[in-house]
Amino acid sequence: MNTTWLLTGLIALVAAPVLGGLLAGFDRILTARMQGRVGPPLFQPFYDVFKLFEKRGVSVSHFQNFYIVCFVLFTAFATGLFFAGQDLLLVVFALTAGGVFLVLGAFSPNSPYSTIGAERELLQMLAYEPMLLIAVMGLYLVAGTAIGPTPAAPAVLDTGKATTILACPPGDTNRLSASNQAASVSSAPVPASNTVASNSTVAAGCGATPCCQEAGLPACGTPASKTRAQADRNFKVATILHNARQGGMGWRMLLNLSGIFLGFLFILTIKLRKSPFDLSTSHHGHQEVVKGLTTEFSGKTLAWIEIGHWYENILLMGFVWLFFSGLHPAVAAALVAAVYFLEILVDNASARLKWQTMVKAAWIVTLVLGVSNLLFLFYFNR
Amino acid sequence: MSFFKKSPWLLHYDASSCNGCDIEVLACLTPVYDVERFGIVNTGNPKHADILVITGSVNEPTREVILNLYNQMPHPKVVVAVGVCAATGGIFRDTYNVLGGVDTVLPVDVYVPGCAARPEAIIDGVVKALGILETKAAALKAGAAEPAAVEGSK
Repeated sequence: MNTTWLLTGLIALVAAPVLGGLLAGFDRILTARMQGRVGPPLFQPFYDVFKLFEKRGVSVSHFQNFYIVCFVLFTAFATGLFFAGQDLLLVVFALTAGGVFLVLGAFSPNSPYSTIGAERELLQMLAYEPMLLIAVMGLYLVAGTAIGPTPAAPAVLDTGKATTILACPPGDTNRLSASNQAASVSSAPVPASNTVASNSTVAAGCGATPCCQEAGLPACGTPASKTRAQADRNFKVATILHNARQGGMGWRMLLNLSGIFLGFLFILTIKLRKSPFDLSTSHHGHQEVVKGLTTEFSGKTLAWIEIGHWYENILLMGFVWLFFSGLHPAVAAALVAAVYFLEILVDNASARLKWQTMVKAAWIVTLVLGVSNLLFLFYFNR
Repeated sequence: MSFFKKSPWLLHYDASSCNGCDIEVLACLTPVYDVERFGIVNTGNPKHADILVITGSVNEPTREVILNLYNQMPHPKVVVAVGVCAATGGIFRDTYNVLGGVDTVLPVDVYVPGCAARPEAIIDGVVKALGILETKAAALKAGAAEPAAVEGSK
């Protein structure tokens, strides 16, 4: 991870709750407009959370608040990792761990309403988790591997100790020809260690600003014989973004992932806690078994759950962005906004379903759209 | 700066009301009155609520429920009695099974008159309750002890 990505991750840690709160405010206004109402101010979710921080808390079990701290930490960790361009699999599992802590927190007070909410949340996780993993695998198969022309013949540098093979990343437009590279390598002073040697050579061979450093690829400046495979085949968000952009994938990426994308939209409704799948807890006025998952939480703890949810929403919107990452950023942003609008529309146009229907529907969608798309990618798009 | 005024969450309980006032309470949420403009949310959970809105007179079975709901609400909290039955017992006050208004069980902060209370009057009452809520919040912040739970004696 280079400093740019580290900085993006840290900024995301601070900015995600702010953006998430604004998104929630926007959501509430849009929902109100769809129902023919004026709706609350844009900053209403922040007012709610600040008020909850002023409220006294009531906790039945000693552990319930501790679990919520873990939930927020893991969700924030997942969000930070995602925006730091790190491993998408780790992001998904950190997010799941956070979700499990929320469920444990809801189980701990032993209240019947809270327990029903917790059990429903587990069923929701059962419903969306396979599709989430298939989405990660799909993104990996399409953009997690080397895209575009094979790199130019690697320059060979004899440092006296070992042979270091250097390769430019596939998308580097500033790449010089093999002979030029070799020439610049030979003209460079012979450094003391392999690491320094390879760093200076990459800088010389790939132009003044190696794009691999911008993208945070681990291969930058390391012996290629060992790391080429790891560099070009991994689950990192940075790699996916880099390959999508540099590989000029455009709409092709979305087209190759069309089934997985539709399946992901389906489970996004569950993940964002929107109707018809807001079984475990809901933001709406109409209740389902009191308030489900959040029944036993009050005051500061409830505020933290809300903040954790904001992190989650921003992370999910980032995930949606990955599907559009081959496109121009403005187009991608517009499409992400369109996806959120669609979710609000579905939320307002549908009634809550039974959990049996949710699990059945989610798994059928996962099998039909997700698995078939994955098989297609695996056998025909290699 | 307190945020209670910007985000009051209501808990509405029907203690033997004829549903007249209940319909008017719910009418506040509809597009015509849209109390969400002021951040008011009708929650179904006492642990999330700031304002307890009670309609109808109190009778023996609902007394326990009212006390249970009130004691589950975290401080600071206020009680609004909506409609003449909740305020005094109304036309049912002399009935053998009716205890009277909400104040026979709980400390009531705001009384909203009317049979049925009009949505405008209900919104007015809630806004008045917000002032009291702020005072209570300020007192708690200044270090005042939390008021004790209300016991079940008549």
